[in-house]
Amino acid sequence: MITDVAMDKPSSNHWEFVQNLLHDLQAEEDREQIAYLFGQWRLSIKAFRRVEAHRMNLTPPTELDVLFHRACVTDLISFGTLIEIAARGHDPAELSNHGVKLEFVIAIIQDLQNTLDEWHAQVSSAKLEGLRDRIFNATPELNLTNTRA
Amino acid sequence: MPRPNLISQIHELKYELRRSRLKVSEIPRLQADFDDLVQQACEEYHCSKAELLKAIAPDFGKWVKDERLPVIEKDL
Repeated sequence: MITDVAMDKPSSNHWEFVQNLLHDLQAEEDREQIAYLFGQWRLSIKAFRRVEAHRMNLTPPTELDVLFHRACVTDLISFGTLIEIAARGHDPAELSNHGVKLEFVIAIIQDLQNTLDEWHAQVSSAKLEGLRDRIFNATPELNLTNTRA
Repeated sequence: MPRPNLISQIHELKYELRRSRLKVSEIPRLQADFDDLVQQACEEYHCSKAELLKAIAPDFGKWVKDERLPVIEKDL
């Protein structure tokens, strides 16, 4: 439970750690550091996608798989958002020289956000069931391909 | 169970986005195309983006098998 005392603290205190981190990221001499972090982030996403393919797509995921998946995807979104904030503090042309473009970062974050929705969106079972029925039990006049067993 | 062509197209773009050899410069265009198709499906099935994505997520693995595609490239 959040106490009144905690709530009265200026928000700048709460965000001090993050602000310091962002200050480091936004330092002019740290463009290469942003590029490095961007590369590390992409590598982490690749590793995540490989595990996701095997644990979430090949077979039905376990309850623990779903929890790990949520923890990883939210961390990746969070890290990417910090990179986006840092990138916004730099000249786009200079950042581009290091292989980082804001549009890349935003698109990757959007892809991760879609992944979060795919597995963790708050949708009732009844609504999902009804929707799946409408999608996969469609009438023949709709354009259908790839009939499944 | 039948799979609408539109859903197959969404899966195909998602698969493209998951390729580990994908160039980073290709991502914005593929992501925009993916979102356009998802939006089209949302209008067809009268649902939100999150609902649509969640409804078809379990079908993606089946689609990969149906298309006989490798689960993931081994170049990581």
